[in-house]
Amino acid sequence: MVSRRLSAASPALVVLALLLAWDFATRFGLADPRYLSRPLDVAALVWQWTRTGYIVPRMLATFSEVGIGYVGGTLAGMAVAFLFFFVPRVAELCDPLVVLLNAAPRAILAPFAVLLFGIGLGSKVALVMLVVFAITLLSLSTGLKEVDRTIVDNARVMGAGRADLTRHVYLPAALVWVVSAMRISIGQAFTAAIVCELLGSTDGLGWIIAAGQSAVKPDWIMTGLFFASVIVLLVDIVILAPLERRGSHWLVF
Amino acid sequence: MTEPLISLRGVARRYPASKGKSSFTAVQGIDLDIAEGSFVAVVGPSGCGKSTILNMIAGLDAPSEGRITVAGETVSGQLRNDVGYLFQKDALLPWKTVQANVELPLVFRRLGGDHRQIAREWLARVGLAGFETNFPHQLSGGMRKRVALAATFVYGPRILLMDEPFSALDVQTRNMMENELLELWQQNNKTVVFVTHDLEEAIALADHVVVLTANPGRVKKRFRVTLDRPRNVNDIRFDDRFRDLHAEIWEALREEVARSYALQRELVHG
Repeated sequence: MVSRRLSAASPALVVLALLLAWDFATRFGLADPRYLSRPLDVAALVWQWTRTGYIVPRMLATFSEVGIGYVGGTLAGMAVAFLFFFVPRVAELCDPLVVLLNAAPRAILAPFAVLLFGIGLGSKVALVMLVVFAITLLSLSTGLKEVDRTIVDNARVMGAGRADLTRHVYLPAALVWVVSAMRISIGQAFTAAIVCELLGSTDGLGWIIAAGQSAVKPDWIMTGLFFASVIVLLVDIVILAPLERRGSHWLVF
Repeated sequence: MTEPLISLRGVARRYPASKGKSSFTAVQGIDLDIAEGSFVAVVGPSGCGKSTILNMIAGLDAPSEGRITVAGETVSGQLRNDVGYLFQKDALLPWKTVQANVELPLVFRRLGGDHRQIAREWLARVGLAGFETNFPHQLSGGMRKRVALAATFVYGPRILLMDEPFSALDVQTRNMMENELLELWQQNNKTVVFVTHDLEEAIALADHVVVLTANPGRVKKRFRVTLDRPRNVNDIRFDDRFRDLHAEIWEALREEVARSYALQRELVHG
């Protein structure tokens, strides 16, 4: 029956079916392989670029743009979130800006970034920073307001001043929120960097994709996309998920 | 008669209306004297402002009316350094070890001495030697309360405010903790204000039981508990005098519980 067949299916089958559909579409005239490429061509290119190591410097270029912007954006977001928290008047004054920052599709500022900071590292770092800054600020602002009242009162009765509270209570509590903000923002950070590379760059995964578009080599685009996904997944699995697990018991209470 | 350590005169706490909530009077016209070294239990139906009274004595909250003095000094929203507070909810820092949690008040108060050693001694006294490097989430609810107790006693506050500290524990653990509290109290000559909704607990522990009215809370009546000390909370419940007292105080409390219940029904059903 349907339900039995469904339970026998596996996620791998779904992926395989999709790849087959893609392949058939290009073979039987439903789609033009010159513009869509074929799964096996992409697989061959992935293998070739991995084997020759050609992809490594490209990935490193994108990775370092994201890395610098990511750390900078997170730190800036934390600093402003704390400022807003301890000086509520500043938060009130900046409220319209924050709403705008939250609502605006930030990656679309890429043309500006390239105009202002050129086609080098600067524009990518700036855009990644902006994207990560916004997510960190919003997530941490919520998080700081939700720090358990009893824990704060208890620390105050025990003699904690504002500096003690920040160091021993708010900062550790905030870290949990920062890490979860980092997990949300990692994908967006790579998107920002790659979109910026598409518009103007000399290296990186976005540069490959842009080159693939102008040379009408869809397999380059697909392969660039593949490696971008791999890098995001790796960062999440190797760095962020373990970090969040470590901190998760902090939220039990 | 000697000056009471804690004194409340005509104390009221009103919360002004805000964001769609109408104004709320938590307590009103509270007169209460607490002598140094005594153990006073405050009982009353839920929502009668018991916790508000503790918060005001601690300086976490300020009275809207009336005057609170502790050791002769007026308290109005400023924290004192001779007060300890044990909350109903867990208030340990989940990201610090048991040892670090107990050392924390010493750090906050910039007290001298070997923090490590002092904290270890208090942990041993509450029966938690060997658990220093554990994190709070690795302990049971009862053990976490012991850590909180150690973290409160460690800096030697003169006054101990307790807000239903054991209400979340199972009965056995709870009785054990009550006995340990009595022991610690007698060894250390603290003044305790203990808020609870459990009359048996109040009588078993305290020298005085103060009954509050349903919202807004006022002092309805104060009873003296003349049971012998040292007490064992498990046995004392079977004492005849305990039963008489219980009947007498319950008589005063029952009405308020019923009123509070009616009030809450009104709130729910409009």
